[in-house]
Amino acid sequence: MYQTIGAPAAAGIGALAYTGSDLLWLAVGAFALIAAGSAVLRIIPRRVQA
Amino acid sequence: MTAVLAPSAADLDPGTVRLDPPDTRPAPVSDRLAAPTLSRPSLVALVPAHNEAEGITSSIAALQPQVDRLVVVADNCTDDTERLAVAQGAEVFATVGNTAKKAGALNQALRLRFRRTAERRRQEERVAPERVAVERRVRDRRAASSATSDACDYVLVQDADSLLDPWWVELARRTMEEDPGLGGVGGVFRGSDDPGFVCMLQRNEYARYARDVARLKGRALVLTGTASMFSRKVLNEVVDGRERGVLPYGSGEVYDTKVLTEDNELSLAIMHLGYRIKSPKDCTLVTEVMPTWRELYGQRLRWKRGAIENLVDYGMTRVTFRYWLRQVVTLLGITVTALYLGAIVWVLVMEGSLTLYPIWLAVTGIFIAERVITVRARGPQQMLLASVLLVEMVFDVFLQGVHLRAYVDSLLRTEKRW
Repeated sequence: MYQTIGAPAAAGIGALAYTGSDLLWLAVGAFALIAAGSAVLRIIPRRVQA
Repeated sequence: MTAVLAPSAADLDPGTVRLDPPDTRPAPVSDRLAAPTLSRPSLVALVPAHNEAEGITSSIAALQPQVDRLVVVADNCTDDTERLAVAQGAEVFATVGNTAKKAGALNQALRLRFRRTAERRRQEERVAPERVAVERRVRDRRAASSATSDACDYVLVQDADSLLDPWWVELARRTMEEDPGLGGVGGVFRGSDDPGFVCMLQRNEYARYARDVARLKGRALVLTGTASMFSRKVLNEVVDGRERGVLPYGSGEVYDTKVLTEDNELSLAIMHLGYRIKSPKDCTLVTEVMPTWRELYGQRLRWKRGAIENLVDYGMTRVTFRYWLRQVVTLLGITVTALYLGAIVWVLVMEGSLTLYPIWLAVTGIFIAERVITVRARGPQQMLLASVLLVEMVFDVFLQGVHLRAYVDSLLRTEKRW
């Protein structure tokens, strides 16, 4: 319930074994890149208020 | 004031409220909810407790100075919970014949007031429907504009294993008073300081959740059972909505007793009535963490399956859309993780080594940075630990496994146990 979506799936993706022409791995790679984008958004400083 | 309320079965039937002995005991909890006597909007705290002797004393100690009235809803307790609560100066409402866990216990505590209100309203509507409609419109307008109306009479529900920070209630109350569009205010929790690896991982998880909520300016997904404050008017509307069939669970009660996550369901109910929910970043509290992987598994399976089944109950709506979207993304994440881990094993077996690509190493660097930065509130030691991605990956994959099991259990409709 409190889990940040995407992060667990993406964690460790850096060693992704196959990212060649296979459609499946392209999809996996695309998801990893989207998750990386989401991670960047989470670490960018943001003004916080109550 | 210290008292033990022990309603008989007859007390729980509509229109037959009776306390024994009636002249020496306080009025039913629910009556007191309906009759604020303080100059400022009244607040009643309900603390559902089932064998919570271990933590009830400290929980009450943190809450009592903040509220007008504190009632421990003792549900089928076989330990010292009731005695300790009374000794601490709380009132105790002992449930009668409740088989519906926390939701059922809270419903009993709230039932008399809401059910009688609903019955009276139905009678009036039969006799003079036009007058009732006019009165309702006037009441709603007044509630929306006046700080002393029903809209500002509050009910706080807090788990017995939570410890509110001293400013919690005042801040929550102010937040509610300043925004009539809020149906409820929840808390942002920290994990308790229990020792152990799995406890530490949960504290990191909660710290990240708190950070996310703060960055979203308090926009929360759910008003959790750890501690949430509701306006009494909104709870009345929930009861009304259930009776009219605009919300699931047409029981005429506040909490849905069929679900595993009654707090999540109530949050959805409130939002479907047009209200927003919020968890202000400074409404902080401490809640317990699960000491073992097994207990964590049980807790999260209940949470995740409950959330899935709540969504199924409500279907696809304007409110549930973003929750469904999260489910889809989570499912995709689980799939990708399985493919990723499977691929590594496959390659190691077939080729004996892995080929590392610079682009994916860079992506890994981003994920490491995210893990480290988002746990900054917990100090340098935790940041250092988070930099070892594999440590937290174990936890994440574990939670994904639980989520997958929750999908399977929901689909197969296995027996719900918690």
